[in-house]
Amino acid sequence: MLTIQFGQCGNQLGHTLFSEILSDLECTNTGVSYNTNYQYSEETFNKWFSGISKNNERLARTVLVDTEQKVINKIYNDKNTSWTYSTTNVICQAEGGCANNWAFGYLIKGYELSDVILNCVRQEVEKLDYFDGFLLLLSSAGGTGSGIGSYITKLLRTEYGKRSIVNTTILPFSFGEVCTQNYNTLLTLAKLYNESDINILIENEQIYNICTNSLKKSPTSLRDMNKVISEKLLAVFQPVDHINHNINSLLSQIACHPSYKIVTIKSSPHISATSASYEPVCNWNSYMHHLKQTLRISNLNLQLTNVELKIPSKSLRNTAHYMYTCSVSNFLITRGLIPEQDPIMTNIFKEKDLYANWNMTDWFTHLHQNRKFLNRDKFLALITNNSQISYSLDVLLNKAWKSYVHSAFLHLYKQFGLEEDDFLQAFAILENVVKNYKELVPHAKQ
Amino acid sequence: MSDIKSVLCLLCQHLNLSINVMMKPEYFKLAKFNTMAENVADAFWKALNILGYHAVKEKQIETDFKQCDTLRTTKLYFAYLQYPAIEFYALSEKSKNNRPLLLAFAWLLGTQDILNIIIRINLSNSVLGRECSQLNSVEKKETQYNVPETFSAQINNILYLNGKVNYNIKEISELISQKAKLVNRIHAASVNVSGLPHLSVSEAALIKRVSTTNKNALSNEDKIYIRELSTIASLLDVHMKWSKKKHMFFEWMVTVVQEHNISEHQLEDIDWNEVSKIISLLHCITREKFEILSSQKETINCQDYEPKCISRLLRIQGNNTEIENWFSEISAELAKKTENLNNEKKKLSEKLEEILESIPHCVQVS
Repeated sequence: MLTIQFGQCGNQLGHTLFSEILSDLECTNTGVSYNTNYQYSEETFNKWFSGISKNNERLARTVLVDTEQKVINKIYNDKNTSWTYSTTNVICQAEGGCANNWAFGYLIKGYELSDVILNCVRQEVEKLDYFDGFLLLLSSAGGTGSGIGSYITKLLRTEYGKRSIVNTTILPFSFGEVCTQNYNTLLTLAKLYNESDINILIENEQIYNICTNSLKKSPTSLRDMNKVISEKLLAVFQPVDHINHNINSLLSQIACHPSYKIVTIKSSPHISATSASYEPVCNWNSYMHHLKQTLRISNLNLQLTNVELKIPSKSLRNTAHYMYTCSVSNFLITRGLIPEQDPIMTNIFKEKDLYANWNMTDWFTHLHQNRKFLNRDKFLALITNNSQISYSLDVLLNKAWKSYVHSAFLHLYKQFGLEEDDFLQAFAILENVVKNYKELVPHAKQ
Repeated sequence: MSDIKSVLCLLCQHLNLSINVMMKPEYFKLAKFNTMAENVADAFWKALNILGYHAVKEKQIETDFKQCDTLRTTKLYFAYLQYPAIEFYALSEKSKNNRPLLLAFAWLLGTQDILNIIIRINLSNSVLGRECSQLNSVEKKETQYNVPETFSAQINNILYLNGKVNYNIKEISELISQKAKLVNRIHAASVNVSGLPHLSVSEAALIKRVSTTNKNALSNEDKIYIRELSTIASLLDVHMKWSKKKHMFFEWMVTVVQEHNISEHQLEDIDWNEVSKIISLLHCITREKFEILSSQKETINCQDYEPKCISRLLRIQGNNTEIENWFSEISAELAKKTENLNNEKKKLSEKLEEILESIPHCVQVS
């Protein structure tokens, strides 16, 4: 796997991601035998690192791309880490960023940097015995990550047609990061939708809420948020027991339908490090239920809640105020020891009525790793491809459309050669995605 | 006579281990005197079939007699090997003669050196010959499969499954290339180890296992491995003994031939019906082959390039002859192709000129 980090957000996230990998490797409380842990470490190393540097530091297998020096300098010179970046993999054109403009990043900067980036990628890929795909980290708000990221994804798709491309896109807060964030997000998601195999969407708002509510961090720093995102990603990508777990196997379970390629990662438990030792460790089952609850959406269907229209009966009291979202498929990865009295029962995820009615096989996969993840007794990640995402995308589309009809900021994009047609196309693609997700109908309840 | 009995015992053991056919020394004795007994003919046919198959395959003759039964197939193998005795071809399932079978068997042993071939095939198919030590036993996952009801759901379902298959194919091809790279790396790392040009993956794995495992607690895999190795060892042992003593078998065969000459056999005894059947079958197959050959004649010329794979034992280290050979071969081919191309070009330009001339009033627009 080759990681490519774009822009300020992507690079910071990547830096935290590798720090987390290292702290996972250096955990002493693994809960498994020396040999098993050795194998886990070896697999982890092969997955994320390309070798050992002269100073005996691990070399991260990642390409850093940015148009500003601020972040790159900071993370490149971070001395607190026992790993480092290979100098040739740092691609930084210090010319003051991409002005938070997708068009500038995509049409101008992406083109300028593409040769250097592709060359660097080729060198990394050729070194590998086994290469399952790319992991791209980018945010959709700014210009570098979204613009250059989308452009490079497109190039990678033509250059490495058979390789899988996984995009991890950080969606901005719904208000106030940058004024062009909605356009940038719209264009990024639309471009990536056609080029990448899967897009893991991470909503800043959700991560922020995890930090403030569950981790009780105040004030919440970007590093805290990146840490949560890294945990989610690593819980998915770190090795599992007895099976060759890689991007392709993940994709063949979770995103094989060409119209449903957006997934989110739900994870549990998120406990703050300081209070971790005082928190009770629940059994696997309660964590599973917790994860299943994350698939709920409130039941706003008037027909169901409008009591006046119903015949009085006892069952009405039980009318649920929520229902479960319809999933294309779910993929659960559990990490931690399984005591005899606390088995993992995955039945609650296997229920047919959680899944789209056309999916007849393999809608749920469960993998397990006995080794403790980041010193946690238990950690669960659910990668889910479901219709929940249509709500956030809908909000985004509405906002972008409102600005678009008033032609707000459009001149910024047009000056770099983006046409009205490109916007309309992006709207069409994303609206189609939302429509597809909304139209998912689950199997009838048995 | 006890000598010959022990040799026959050895031969039976050999056949049992190498081709898994149950033979008994008595069968040979019964066959010598052409005595009818149960199983004798069956066992001989079975052994001849397997040995004949390998002998024909060794000569790199393409055969495909799947539609025939064991008897016919065996006879056809022998016909390919040009075994001259007509009595053998005249045997049918009901016939009471066993001696021709024994004679054919001895002929195969004597002229084709079939037991050596069999041993070689056995070894190369065994754990020693394999590149990688273990073949993963693939568990088939039984899935219940229902087709969705509506048309659009069916389409979605097909798209979904199609995507799944695509990703799995990607994964498979990636794993294959990974395997090739890793095997290559092991070969490169073990150049000139233990007097061999390089070690195979299974040998390297064996060395690693021997140095790391606890000898008191053998795992199941180790036990299976040891069992396989001991089977090979016993086979090789039997083969060695047989090689030393096989002259005795052939001396005994002389007495069989004498017996055969003494006994009255006349042309009338031969089942000409059976012979003619075999001949017509042979005729048919040959004609078919001829037809295929003549229809492929043109294409075969283009495909005269045969990939050669060299055994590692024939490879000479520190010598670039192999590469040079490949190189000269490839450059010869390139030269041939270029020449062809030039010829074609010349022809094309001639043709074009011809066309141009045939249009006399053509207006040239510059």
